[in-house]
Amino acid sequence: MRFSCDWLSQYVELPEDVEELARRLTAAGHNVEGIERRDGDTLLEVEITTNRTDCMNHLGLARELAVLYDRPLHWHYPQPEEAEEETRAAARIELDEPHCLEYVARVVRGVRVGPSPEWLVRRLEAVGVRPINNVVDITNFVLWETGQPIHAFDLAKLRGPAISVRHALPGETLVTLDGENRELDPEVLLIVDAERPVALAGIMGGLETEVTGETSDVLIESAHFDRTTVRRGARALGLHTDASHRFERGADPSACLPAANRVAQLLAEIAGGRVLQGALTNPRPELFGNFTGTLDRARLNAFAGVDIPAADLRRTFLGLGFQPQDLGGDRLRLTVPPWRYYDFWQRRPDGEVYEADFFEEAMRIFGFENVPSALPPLAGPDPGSSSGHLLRERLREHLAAAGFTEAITFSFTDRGSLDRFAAPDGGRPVELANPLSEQYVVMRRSVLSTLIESVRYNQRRGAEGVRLFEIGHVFPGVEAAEIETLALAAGGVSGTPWDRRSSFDLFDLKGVVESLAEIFGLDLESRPAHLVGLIAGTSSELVVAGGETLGYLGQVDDPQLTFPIVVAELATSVLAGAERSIAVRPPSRFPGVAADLTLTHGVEVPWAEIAGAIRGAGIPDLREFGLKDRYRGEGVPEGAVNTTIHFLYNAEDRSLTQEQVNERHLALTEELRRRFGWKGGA
Amino acid sequence: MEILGAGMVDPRVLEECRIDPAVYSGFAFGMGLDRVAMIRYGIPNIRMLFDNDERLLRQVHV
Repeated sequence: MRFSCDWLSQYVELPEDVEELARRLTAAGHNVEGIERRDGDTLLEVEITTNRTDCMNHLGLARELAVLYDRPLHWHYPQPEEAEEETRAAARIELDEPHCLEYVARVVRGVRVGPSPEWLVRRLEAVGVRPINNVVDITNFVLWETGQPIHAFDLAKLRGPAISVRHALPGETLVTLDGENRELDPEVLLIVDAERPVALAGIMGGLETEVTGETSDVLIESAHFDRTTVRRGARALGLHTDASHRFERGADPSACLPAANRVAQLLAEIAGGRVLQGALTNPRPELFGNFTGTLDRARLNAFAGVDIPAADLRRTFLGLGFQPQDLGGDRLRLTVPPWRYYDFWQRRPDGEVYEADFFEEAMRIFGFENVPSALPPLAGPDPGSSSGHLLRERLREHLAAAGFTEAITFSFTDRGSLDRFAAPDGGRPVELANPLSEQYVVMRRSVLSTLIESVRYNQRRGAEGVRLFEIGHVFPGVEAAEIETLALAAGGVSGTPWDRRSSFDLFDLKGVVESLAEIFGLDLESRPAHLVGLIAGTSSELVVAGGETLGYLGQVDDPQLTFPIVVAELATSVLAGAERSIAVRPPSRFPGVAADLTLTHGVEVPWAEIAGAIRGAGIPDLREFGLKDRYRGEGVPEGAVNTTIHFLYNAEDRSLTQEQVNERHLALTEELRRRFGWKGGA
Repeated sequence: MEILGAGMVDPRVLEECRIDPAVYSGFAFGMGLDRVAMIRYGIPNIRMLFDNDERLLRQVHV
């Protein structure tokens, strides 16, 4: 909202330094977003929060400045000089509409409509309002001066005997000042004369009764409408005006008559009108009830962590219009001024104003920047980083070194993605009470279900390779606690041809998972398993020694992926929970003997099973073994594979003879051939 | 762009949570971490932080 410093200085002496003024206003809750110097004036762009309608005008902001700088506010509403003729003989108001809380009308006769004087044009242009004619300009000026929206009717065009307020009837229309013929919704509150609508209450006037060059007698409307009614009406019409902006947020219910007087006085001064005697009015202050409360200075100081002197406090509230009364013992009885009613709308059940709302006033004028900064007094030694944090950092570093990048996705997803990948069953899914959109209605059960969307995003943008990981929480269901998991998703090529570019496949991923198992000291076994979302034959569960499930891996079954994607999801608690034996086995001082074995077996037999059998065979002095080669092709029967296994025999206390090695190796060979050896097509 | 929005908790909120505001006061703060990251890394659009486009992610070093 734009403010003119020249205009403000009419009501309060401003400091020389505008930058400093902007800082003070900002610290008091009115964020100054811009300062512009134009035509000898300085314009401030100020963000006035919606609860401060009282500051959406120059007088209101001047009042704040007067308090902030402890300077007098030069302002009183004028009492216009009145003619003999009485207003009630010239117009009548009939009110029985509860959404119109007050309606003040004044009549000014014999105005000469014409261009506004230069000072008035300058004021309006400063705040971005287009000058029209002196009568309309005066109403706009008073809105930007006092905050009270005013409308001026051409009295001669109003059809008697009375003006009243009511909701629109179905099918009713009104051509508004902007020339639009508007179909009226019954939500819309109207000002009507004896025959037809003449204005949208609190929003915009009608074209037929507008003030024109021929107008001589003017009826000034200065009213207070229910804010919810104005908001609904403005929304139904898709209209937003300076008037509706203020009424919707809560105008000053005490301003109707004084603002009408101000307009009347200016019409007399500028347009040469005769102000008729008296105003038509129906003030109903009882509608708003009691807005009082007590402020205890000791409690304020304890809350704010400062010592605000009693005299400053009194001065602050006096300047802001709260009529402080000293109750003794550092307590003040305060009465909220009408222009702040809507800001103090929420009160205690006993009707008292909440003390915290007074704290806020006291502190923003004292200046938040004057409250000393202090760290909260937290006792005890620095607990350092949590074990969970250290674990995640270790995972991040390792995976970054393995060429992965960390992704972060939302923890909520759509219902369709919920069961896209395997997840622990925790009963009914955790649903969001207030979902932002259909895309985000339920908490995910696997990180992969959301991470796969990032994979697709990269593929759609032409990526030739993807290597992403995410550490996040999954929510198995309302009956289960959330779990932290690590998800990996990779595929395609990366690097340049010089980097020996190759596709990332299931074995690469398994290597990464095994390297993680290695650094955390886990013995990992993969068990082939049919898992949802993964291609059969590629998927397996990962189980650690002791039988706990670490997670799973496999290739994603989705024909829409532009290149194959392999994924894994691991429970970080299982990674972290491994207790690695730190004891070592000293290497033998005696030489070992190596031996290979090529086993022809069915392709369906997994390596894990063969390895298990070797471990289970209990061959003495077998120090280590491992996979050396796998071969399918010429010479190997269809459906079979040649697996070459490497063995090392080595005793701790002596050299093994070749015979001893042969004996052991033969026993093992026979055992493996018996269990897995190829026996022809299955 | 606003960052580090913070303030004292209205004692009414504490009351609703059955915490005695005469004994306790609350301080609430939302760091706006993503906005800080935008400034620090020169990221023009907040959505880019959640797109997980690898071409961007690979440039980020913490």
